[in-house]
Amino acid sequence: MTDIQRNHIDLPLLTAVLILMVLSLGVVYSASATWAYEKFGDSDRMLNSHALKILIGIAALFMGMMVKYTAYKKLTKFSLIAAILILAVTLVLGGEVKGATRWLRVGGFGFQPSEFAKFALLFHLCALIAAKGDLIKDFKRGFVPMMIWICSVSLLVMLQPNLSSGAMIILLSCVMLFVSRARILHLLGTLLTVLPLAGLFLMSAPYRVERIRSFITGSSGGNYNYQLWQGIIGFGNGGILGVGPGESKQRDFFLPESYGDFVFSIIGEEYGLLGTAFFLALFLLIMLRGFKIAKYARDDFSRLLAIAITSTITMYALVNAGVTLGILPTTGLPMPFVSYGGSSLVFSSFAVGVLLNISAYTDLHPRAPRMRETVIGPETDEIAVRKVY
Amino acid sequence: MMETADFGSPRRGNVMVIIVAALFAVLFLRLYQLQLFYHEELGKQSEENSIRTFVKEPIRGYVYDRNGKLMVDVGPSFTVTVIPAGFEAGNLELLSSFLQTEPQSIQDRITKGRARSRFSPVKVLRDINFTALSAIEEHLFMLPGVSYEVESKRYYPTKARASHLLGYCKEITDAQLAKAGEYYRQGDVIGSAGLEASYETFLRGEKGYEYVAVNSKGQLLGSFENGKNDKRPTEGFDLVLSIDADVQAFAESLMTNFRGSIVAIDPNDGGILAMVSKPDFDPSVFSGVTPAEVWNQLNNDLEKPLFNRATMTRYPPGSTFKMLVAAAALEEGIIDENYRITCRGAYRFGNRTYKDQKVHGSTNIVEAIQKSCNVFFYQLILKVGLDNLNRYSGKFGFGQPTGIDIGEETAGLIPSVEYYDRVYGKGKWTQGYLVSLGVGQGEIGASPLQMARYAAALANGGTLRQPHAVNLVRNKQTNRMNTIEHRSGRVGISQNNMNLIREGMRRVVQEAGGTGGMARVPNITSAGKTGTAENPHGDDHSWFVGFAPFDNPKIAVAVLLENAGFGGTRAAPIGGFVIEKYLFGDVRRRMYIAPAKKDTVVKVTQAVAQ
Repeated sequence: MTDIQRNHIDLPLLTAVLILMVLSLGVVYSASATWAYEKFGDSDRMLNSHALKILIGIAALFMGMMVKYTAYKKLTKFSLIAAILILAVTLVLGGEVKGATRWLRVGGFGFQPSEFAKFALLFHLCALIAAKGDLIKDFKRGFVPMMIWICSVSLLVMLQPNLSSGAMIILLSCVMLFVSRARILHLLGTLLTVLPLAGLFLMSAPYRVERIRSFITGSSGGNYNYQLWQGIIGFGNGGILGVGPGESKQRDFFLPESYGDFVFSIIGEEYGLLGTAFFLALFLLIMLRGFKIAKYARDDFSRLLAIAITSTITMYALVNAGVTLGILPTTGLPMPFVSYGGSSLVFSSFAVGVLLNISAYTDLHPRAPRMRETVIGPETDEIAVRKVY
Repeated sequence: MMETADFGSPRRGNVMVIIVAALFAVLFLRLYQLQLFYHEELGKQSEENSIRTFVKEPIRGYVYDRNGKLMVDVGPSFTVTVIPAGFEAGNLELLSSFLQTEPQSIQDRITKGRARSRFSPVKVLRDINFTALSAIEEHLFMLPGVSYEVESKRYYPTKARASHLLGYCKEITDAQLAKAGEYYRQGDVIGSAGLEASYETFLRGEKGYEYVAVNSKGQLLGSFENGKNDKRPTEGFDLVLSIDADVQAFAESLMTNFRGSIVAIDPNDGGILAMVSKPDFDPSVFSGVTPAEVWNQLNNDLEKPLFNRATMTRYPPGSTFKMLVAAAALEEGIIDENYRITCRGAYRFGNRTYKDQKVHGSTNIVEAIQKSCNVFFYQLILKVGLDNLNRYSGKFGFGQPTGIDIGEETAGLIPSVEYYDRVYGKGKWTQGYLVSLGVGQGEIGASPLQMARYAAALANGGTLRQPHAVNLVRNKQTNRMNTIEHRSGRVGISQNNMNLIREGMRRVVQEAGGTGGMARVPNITSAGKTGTAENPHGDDHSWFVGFAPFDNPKIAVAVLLENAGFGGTRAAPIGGFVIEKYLFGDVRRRMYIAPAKKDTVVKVTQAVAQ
């Protein structure tokens, strides 16, 4: 491919992500100050740690933005294999947090390999689909190889056990297969074989059965599980305008560790409908910009990549909000850029950087004036362009 | 924009966008429903049905001695709490008069607590006395927001202090908090030394939680959801020690005027029978609230009462080390029972003369141990060599931690070729350095605990056991006793050689000419070895190691007296008394213990601190 002109990045997307990051500082502080004070005698402890992670996230974002996306094409297979190895190592050596081995410690830093594996898999799927083209309709040569990758990653994640992340990986992979014209028949067929197995897996742990039972029986009355119900009271208590920054009452007694997966209900209580709607609107904006970038993308790989990244961020936000609002069963998925937690933040930031990089190679925001029109003759194309610049 | 015909279905892309947009719509609707439609109803719930969490402290485990005698008891301690939101400022004077304390100190605590949470109880005064408690109890109705909590407090019903062994609990420090798991919160009490620290997770139990519904004014409405979510605290596990509380108390009384340590071990299982480190402290000063001045005084005392001499000191073992040199020489075939030397009262090596106590004449290995002949061992160690000495020291557990279950201990020091090369430089040290090692002097260090374990291994015929203070742990939930596994290994000395060494030790105590006659116990055959460790900082340290009964040992003991002088006259009688007390339940003869010299205190503690 000839050198494509690099245009401006998509500023609305960058702005939306940066706003989320900045606001998350306030929200995480408000949700964690009491707890951090009780635990460490220092109410800024979690805030400082979160601020550091945001700085790392921003660095990751700019890194993703600088590297031309075509660079990943050749790297995806290697990083996916690395990710699978790391997942396997984590299962054996990882640190246990609340009964699940999701953490790997390297030189004093802990990170969740499932976050890395998720993006490694999605990137590789994009590269595979882009390379195989119509072959994806072929069951043996197109569909099955991809399913093998998807299954190995999601299975390793589920074994941690981290069911919700594993399920999200499958869901996002299916989205990729769906938008890339895999046969619906193959997708449905696979789904029908996997679902009973998933059901069995679900039933294998009592806490999962309990969560789902409380979700199903609870949705009719006020009988949700304790934490969820307290979160919902928080939303209701917030009303339109909220009770004000730092004034959450729920967080003190009812929502332990709400700075993690339940941060949205603290937003709901302190900033009201205005706050929650604003956060959701930012994610909606990210989604719309992402799909727009996909639409304008120059090639198959970047188009698929844009869809993958956008879907990941959007789906995580939707599922997290859905859980706290009591319309989805309780899972441990973070709200991207907002929840306290480093791995999700850093990898999501990097992915958005990649998305921004893709946007720079579309005609969404052309550099004015259009230099290309001043070029004379196709043979001298590259030289002429360089000269003009 | 480039469009590829065969891939990336735009139709399916649109389907995706529509689905996701629909999901967003659902969320917006739900937010609208909760935050507008149900706002009043849920807001009222939040307002009225707010819940407070009260932490219920578990009862800490009890500690019993080997005969089931209660050594560490638990009693209630009352702590006054105040909920900042519910407290009326006008009551401050009244509350402080009940508590007999300054109003300002109470106000400070409440202000600090309010910054954290207006609704969580703040501990304003811990461990209040009975008068204050009854005054508060009677006037609770006048004091909204004031309450009290029951916490555990340690009591020590026996005469034995065992301060270093039992350890103590203290309010958790920031450093401990950062290291400890999720379980702890600021203001919690945590085992900080001795068994209280090493068995913390067994002893502490699990906290319980009680959820109580309160109205917007903070007044109690009753238990939340009939206590469905409450969690009862679970009691901590009990420890059954290998310690004999009577022997412990007796051994402590013997040490009243000394600095030093006594460690007695059951040679059959490695259980510690008594462990004394003097000077010590009264562990009950740590139950309840420890005033800062008491803590500072203990910490700054030049005699270092908080320092566990039984496990943390490393003094040269002096002549008590001779059995080890003998074991190495016999086992390596360097000498046998017929080997004799003639002692002329001194030994010249290089340009130095190494002295002996007296002229012993022709001496074999058994007699050399019995009479503690230095010249015999000066010569012997040169034949044994540093590498063999090192290897056999390792077999008897010197130069390495014993693995005792009470936490801190020193590994001790046994010099090696590498050690001397490092300290003095390669080729800059001579065999002369070795000569004093032969009689346990010089750069060699062992803790009283290591010496007691060594004595136990000689007592039981060569099995080195991991010393331990806890025999059993009682699970309070199942009420079952759990045993604890301990390591043990053979030192690898042949029966014949072991018998020679033991015979030497028997003669030390039982026969005329032995140096340890003052350790003799009536009606029983015991064995032992005395030691006098030269000390460049002051008077010699006095050692005794021994065991009894000779044929079927039930107790092995090590005694160390700092700066007390000769082992045979100072440490040996104390060792004998401890043995008699354990085997016979009492000491039935007139006890005489020479008073200690107290003038070198400061110098010595400096040596300890190094």
